[in-house]
Amino acid sequence: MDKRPILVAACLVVLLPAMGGSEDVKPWDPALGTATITGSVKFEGKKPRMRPIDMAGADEKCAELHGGKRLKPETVVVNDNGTLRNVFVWVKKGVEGWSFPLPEGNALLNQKGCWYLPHVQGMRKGQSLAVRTSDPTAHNVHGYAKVNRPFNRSQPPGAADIMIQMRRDEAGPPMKVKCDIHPWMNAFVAVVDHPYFAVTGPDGSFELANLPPGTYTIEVWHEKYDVMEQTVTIADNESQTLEFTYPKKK
Amino acid sequence: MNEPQYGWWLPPNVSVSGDEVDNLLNIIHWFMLVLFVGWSIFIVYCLVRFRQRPGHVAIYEPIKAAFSKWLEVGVGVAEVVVLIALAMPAWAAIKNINSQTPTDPLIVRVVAEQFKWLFHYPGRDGEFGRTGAEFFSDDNPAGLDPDDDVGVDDITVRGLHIPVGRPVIVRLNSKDVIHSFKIPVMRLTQDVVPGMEIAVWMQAKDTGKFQVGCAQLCGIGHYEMKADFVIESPKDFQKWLDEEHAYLGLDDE
Repeated sequence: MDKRPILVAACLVVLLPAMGGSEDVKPWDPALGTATITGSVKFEGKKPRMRPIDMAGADEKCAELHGGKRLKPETVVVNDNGTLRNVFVWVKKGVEGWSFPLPEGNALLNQKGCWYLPHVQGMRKGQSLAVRTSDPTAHNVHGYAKVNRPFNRSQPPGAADIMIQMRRDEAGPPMKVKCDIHPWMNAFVAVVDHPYFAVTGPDGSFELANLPPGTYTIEVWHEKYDVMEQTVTIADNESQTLEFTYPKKK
Repeated sequence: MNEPQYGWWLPPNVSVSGDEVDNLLNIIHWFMLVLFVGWSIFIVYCLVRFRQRPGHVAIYEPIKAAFSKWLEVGVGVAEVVVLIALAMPAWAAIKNINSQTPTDPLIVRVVAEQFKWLFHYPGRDGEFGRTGAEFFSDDNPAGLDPDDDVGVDDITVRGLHIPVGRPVIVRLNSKDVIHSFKIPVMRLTQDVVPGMEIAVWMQAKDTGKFQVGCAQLCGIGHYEMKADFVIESPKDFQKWLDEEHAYLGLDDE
């Protein structure tokens, strides 16, 4: 008896699930998204001193755009209510079973006043990052991607947006973007495969809405103070509040 | 930046030791012009005089006449003399300048990075804060120790300001690759090497606004690696220092 067909079938049975890998990912059903996680990121202790940046000595055009006012680095921005700004919050684990539709359009990283806007942002895997220049001086956009493809592109004034496709997850840690011409310019872009991410703003709070019920690992990331995580289990129509405090306790 | 147009000859000289450099550059260039023209005339003469034509056969043996032998030796000796006569004074001038210890100098720490200069002045206390490579970060381009209170009033700027008439020692550091600290109007060029601090000094004799550049190809943004260079009267310089101090916002605390 020829045993070859049986061997081939046995191989297929073993290999196919490993090759497919995504057969248990279901398209997202918005009706399931009823749970919400909110929270805030506090800052405790002595605020590090941020030195004002002298742009004029390096590029007068940059300084003119700020009319003599000096900006401070956005590395550590502590809000008036004692919370920490520019913290990236995302669901690190718990939504692997779904595939979420991509939002329309691109993520935008604008260069305005020799400054990146926004300083920290999240975007979806598969979207493009549009790097725009709104400045009368040249920039050089240098993306220090570790998972995605790194890039290093020069952008003279008036040039079209540079489109960077982000094909892979890159949120732990987010990709750093720097300007090679203006060393004080830096920004961070996190790439996530689902819509559950946020960046803390002037009130230090965040909200991850429309989550399906389940157990989630929530990670917060800050460029200077690194990552922290908490695990939370949440039921239908429930809302839970998390609180993180930086810097980490040693 | 209003860097003056340099035109066809040397840029303006605002350095007290610039005349020596300029003299040397002028002598060398005029001398090279004389050599260039002389040798060019000789080559053209030979091309015409010894061109191939009927009735003339090339000789492949060296000429053994006494005159041409002494001429060759003479040219050789003359060039050695000229070389030594130029090189020795240049070497002596550099030695002289470097061996003088300036009195009451202003000390500025310079940090070169791809692709900008950073200038670090001691603050009102006249002392530099502690610095170290481990403290470098995007929000701390001078590498100041955040726990050292001496460095709190230090001034870190992207343009170099100096007072006229006072010796200035610049202590050159690099964060990444080899750069070269160049101020054409001060006739000053010094490589900046990562891992070591190199000090040079200069003194300006005139005020004005010029440029510091990088004279060592250091990467993609090398052409953008420049900074303001402002020479001011001591009064204006002090005013500038006070303004920079105010920007630190220490008095509001």
